[in-house]
Amino acid sequence: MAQLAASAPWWAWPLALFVACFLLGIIAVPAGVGGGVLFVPIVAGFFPFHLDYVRGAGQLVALSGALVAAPRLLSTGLASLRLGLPLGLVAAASSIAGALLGFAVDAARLEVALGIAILGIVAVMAAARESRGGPQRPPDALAAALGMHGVFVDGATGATQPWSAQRTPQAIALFVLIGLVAGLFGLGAGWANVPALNLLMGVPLKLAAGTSGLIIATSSSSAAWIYLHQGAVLPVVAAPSILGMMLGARIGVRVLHRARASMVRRLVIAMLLFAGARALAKGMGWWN
Amino acid sequence: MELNHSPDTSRYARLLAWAVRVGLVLLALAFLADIAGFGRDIALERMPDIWRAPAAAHGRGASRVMLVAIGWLATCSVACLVPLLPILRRRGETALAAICLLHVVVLSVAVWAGLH
Repeated sequence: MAQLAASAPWWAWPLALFVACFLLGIIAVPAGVGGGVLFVPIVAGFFPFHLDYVRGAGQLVALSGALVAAPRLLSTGLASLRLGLPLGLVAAASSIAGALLGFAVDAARLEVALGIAILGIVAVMAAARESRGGPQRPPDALAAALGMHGVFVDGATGATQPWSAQRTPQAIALFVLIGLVAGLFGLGAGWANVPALNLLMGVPLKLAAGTSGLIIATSSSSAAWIYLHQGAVLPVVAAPSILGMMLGARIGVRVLHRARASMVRRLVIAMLLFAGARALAKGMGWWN
Repeated sequence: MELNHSPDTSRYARLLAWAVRVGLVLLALAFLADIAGFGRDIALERMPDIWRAPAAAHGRGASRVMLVAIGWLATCSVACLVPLLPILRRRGETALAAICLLHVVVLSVAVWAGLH
């Protein structure tokens, strides 16, 4: 791989990155994950870019995707501002710490940590099941004070579902951790936001998925500034990644209607398992 | 669809949609300018030396025009919260208004922390 990286012309890698991100964008949408969680381990494992630039581009891939989706999610009621802003705030604060920590740690150790984190994410994705909620309960005191409740109407079925956030203090603590990991690796955080909102807080799954986009749009902004100022945003890496992922995601929306989501999800889990193992092996010096 | 959809949510969504459109156009123009060599100090042929080394080895990797475009995208989701503050104050939603203000503070800390 090192020989290939040395012999290829400079433009071959941004071009290959664009194609890879286009393909990742196609499978990210039907798999229900943001681009960052696929992008960082795969590009870090198989492209010659230093992890700093991969993390920086990953942060921007996650941010751009979330920014493009957030207005539509909000205007169609698939995301809640009152639910997303408080959680996005704690994630934003901890993502700053995560991003700064990433620049203080040696790249090989960070690669090992990335491998472990990705394998952990695979476990979360494989284990997560939808919470359909039990009988409607009043929001906890903090959720009531922040207005984290409402009535959700499923556009597909027309079913009405009143919801109110549960276990908000625990969720806030969890979002501190999610923001830290997202900022540290430039991952985005849809993989963690959705289970946290749905399984811990009892938010309907579709509203959880939509609000996750809003949380990423606000929380990734802070970490993006750290990457920008640390010089970890290289246009020839970031721009093909963002463009490829966005174009691929447009195809992915069509695939979503035709492919079996469970099959795509299994494919993503297998890819992440391989990419996580590769990051771990690269960091440990077993496979360079 | 969320039934208790409020005017502040609609306003934020409209503002953010415009800000993101402007940001993406800026990003595309900045990338074209960067490829054309405008505002970039490093030749494209030298890029493999740059992208193989840590970011700290070369300082700022992005050109000034690219910094403006990415800075815009990294600011717009929080900046669009500011026009909501008078609406939230009028409606007595002090908790949400405080959270919007705190978002501005956290983003300012990120900009400051990145510079130091």
